[in-house]
Amino acid sequence: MTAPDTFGLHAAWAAGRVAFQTCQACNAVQHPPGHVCAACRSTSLAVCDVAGRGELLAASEVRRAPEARFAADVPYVLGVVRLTEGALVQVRLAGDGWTTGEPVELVAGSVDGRPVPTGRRTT
Amino acid sequence: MRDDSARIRATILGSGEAARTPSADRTAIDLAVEASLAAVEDAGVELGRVDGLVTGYSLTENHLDFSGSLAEALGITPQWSQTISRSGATGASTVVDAALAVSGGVCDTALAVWADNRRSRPPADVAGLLAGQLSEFETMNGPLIATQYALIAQSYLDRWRATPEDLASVAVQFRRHASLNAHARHREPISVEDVLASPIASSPLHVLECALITDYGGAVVVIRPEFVAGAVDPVRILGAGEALSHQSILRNPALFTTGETAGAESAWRAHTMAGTRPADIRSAQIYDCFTITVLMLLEDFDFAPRGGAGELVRGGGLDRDGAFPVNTNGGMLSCASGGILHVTEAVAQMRGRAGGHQLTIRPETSLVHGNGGILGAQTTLILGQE
Repeated sequence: MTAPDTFGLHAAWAAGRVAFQTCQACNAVQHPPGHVCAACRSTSLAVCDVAGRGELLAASEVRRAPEARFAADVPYVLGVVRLTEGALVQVRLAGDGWTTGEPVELVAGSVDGRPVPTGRRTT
Repeated sequence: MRDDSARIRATILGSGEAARTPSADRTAIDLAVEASLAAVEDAGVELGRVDGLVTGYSLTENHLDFSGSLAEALGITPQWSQTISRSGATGASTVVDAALAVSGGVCDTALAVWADNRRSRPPADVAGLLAGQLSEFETMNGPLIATQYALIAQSYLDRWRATPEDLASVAVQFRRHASLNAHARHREPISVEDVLASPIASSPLHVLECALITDYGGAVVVIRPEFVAGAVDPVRILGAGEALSHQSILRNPALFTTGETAGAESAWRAHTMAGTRPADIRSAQIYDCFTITVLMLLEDFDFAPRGGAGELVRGGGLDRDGAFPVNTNGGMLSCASGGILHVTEAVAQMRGRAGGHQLTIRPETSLVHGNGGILGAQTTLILGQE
């Protein structure tokens, strides 16, 4: 069962945007999204496009799927990326051999048939 | 910031564990009852005297209120009861809540219990079930719980130029302790090579670096110190501290920069309340869901310098025969699941009741730590011989 798209992120991703929740008061990008900005406590939050660039903080190759729907993807690489806007996001990374500190480009992609941002080496 | 006058006045009279026989077909309540009755007997109190009850939650069974189901199974009607859910920190936090309840006078004799039958009656693939409880913005990409810890482990290795051997030596050390514990699930000694030769769950973490999924049940009896007369080897709760930094690892960048977790904060609060310092602690029972958890928490607690926990472990610094025994029952990596067993083990060692794996010198002080979620919910207890 799919959770309600409370924050509108899935709608933005389905439209092909690389976007995350952004505070309209202090411009902080936060992820996962919430109802209150953790930086300034404003409740004025919107989904905004990001530059789509970041730095890889860590990568891990998953060898065993947590759910059957991901089994065909094994092994796959998940990375934690710090966006240039400051927020940390978790994405599937294309390719292997990723090392900490590498630049990552975020693009519109999909996992399990669902549109989500994914990461690739910068071109 | 906490009020420096915050105090807990509570003493642990005894502890009990449920036997862990994977072939048995038992409910979580069965396990909780067995642990509760063992704790009450160990404490030397009448079951009818128990007027407070705090339990953890079950992952495998639905209860409107687990503490209510347990109270009924035990035939008691406590004046204070609650079921709490704080992920892996639940076990240690049941003891904090019991201590707060008796300190506040809402009850005199409280049982703190956590039990679950995660092996004998799992509802599904337990590892998958747990992974499904991450936020939807994590689950959508398919991480295991191990993946989230593995990402933090990779960052640790990169930051400190630590090695897979540093991580593996944690599992080797605790297996050595388990080899002496008749109640440990895995007792055959293993080497660093064995750990590194086991399959990778999520790089860089191997299967032998992940906690076991077993049945478990543990309980302690907590009373106000003024009722301690006549008790045998009671254990005083000198201090307790909690902290919550995040649910998603993406909300706590420190995990990928300094590597400090909220465990540093919970331990500082517990020390402040207890009036102790890290050097005063003689033994520790530390939540060991993964090998990386132990290395990072040892540093958060100032038992090793930042980046130096691997060296401490490789040098035998956690060994039962050394000055600072840690996870003396084999921990979650080799003995059993369930953070409550870190509490019962600490109490048993301090009271000289750990049986075949009893330490030669009963620790005068112990630090017990529960970690919940992905290093987000932290609970520290500091115990001292009364």
